[in-house]
Amino acid sequence: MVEMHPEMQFSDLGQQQEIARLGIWVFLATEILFFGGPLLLYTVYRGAYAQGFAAAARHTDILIGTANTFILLTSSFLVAWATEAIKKDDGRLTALLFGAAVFLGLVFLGLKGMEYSNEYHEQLIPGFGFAFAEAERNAALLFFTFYFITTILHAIHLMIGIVLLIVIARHAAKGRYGAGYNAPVFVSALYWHFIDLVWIVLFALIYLPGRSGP
Amino acid sequence: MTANSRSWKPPARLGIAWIGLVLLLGSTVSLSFVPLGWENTAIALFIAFAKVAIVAVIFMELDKGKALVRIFALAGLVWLAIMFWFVLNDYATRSEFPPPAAARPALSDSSDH
Repeated sequence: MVEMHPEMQFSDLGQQQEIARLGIWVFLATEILFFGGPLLLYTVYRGAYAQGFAAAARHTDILIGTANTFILLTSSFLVAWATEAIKKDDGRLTALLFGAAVFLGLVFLGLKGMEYSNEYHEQLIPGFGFAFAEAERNAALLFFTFYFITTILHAIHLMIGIVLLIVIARHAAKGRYGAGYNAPVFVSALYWHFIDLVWIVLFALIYLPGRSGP
Repeated sequence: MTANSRSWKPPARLGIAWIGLVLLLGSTVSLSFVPLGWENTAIALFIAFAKVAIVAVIFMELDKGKALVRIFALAGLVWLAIMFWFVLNDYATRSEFPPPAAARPALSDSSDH
């Protein structure tokens, strides 16, 4: 492992690590509020148009949605494993596990792209020839606007996460981190887990409503 | 790091958490197809929160480390709860507290435009 020195404002690497941990949680708190706005909007509109939201949600692809949830949960597991590996000074295993998570992230994006393309052909994209049964049209328009805004925001976060993991994995493979100092591994892992958390909530709101209906 | 001291086995608690997450995913998808009325929504949200808790506590290591980190992690949720609380207070009580009669014509006028 390359010898690391703390940044000048810290007395030692342990303190620097502790501050990084707090810092990423502060950032994630702002992210919770960022996604919280659309979630609040969804809650209010779903209360007002319960039938329409159920009818619209039935048009989402539960198969791809479930597969993508499984993929992200598994990627989070690999990333959590990677943060354990670096605590044992195993930078190569950390890099490998981050790489596997990156691969799963790319599969997620591929499936999401397929889903968007299907939705385009089914005329479910607001502003691109949106068509829906007249009785529920307005509610469905609100639902699919929420769907596209939140899933695209989520996909952008995932792309950032993929780049982040690739950069940190390269450093980890070169032995830049270890049991003594691994804040970049831990911080990027937490960002990845947060992307997973957002998806878990979106999955319940987008894919599950209205499944047992007509 | 020598090759033979590398452990290819994931820590057990992470493996158990992953199995729990996959089982929860399976149950929430299956249960969504059972007609239960409003309880479908309750189950979907409850299972989503259970999954969030597993990821946050075990994968994000909120069970380890200092209390200060846990407080920082909770802060985001507390602020989110305040936002939901204030807004839903309004929407949930609108039928009980209709706008005063004088305000109604003006409201319907503006909606015609």
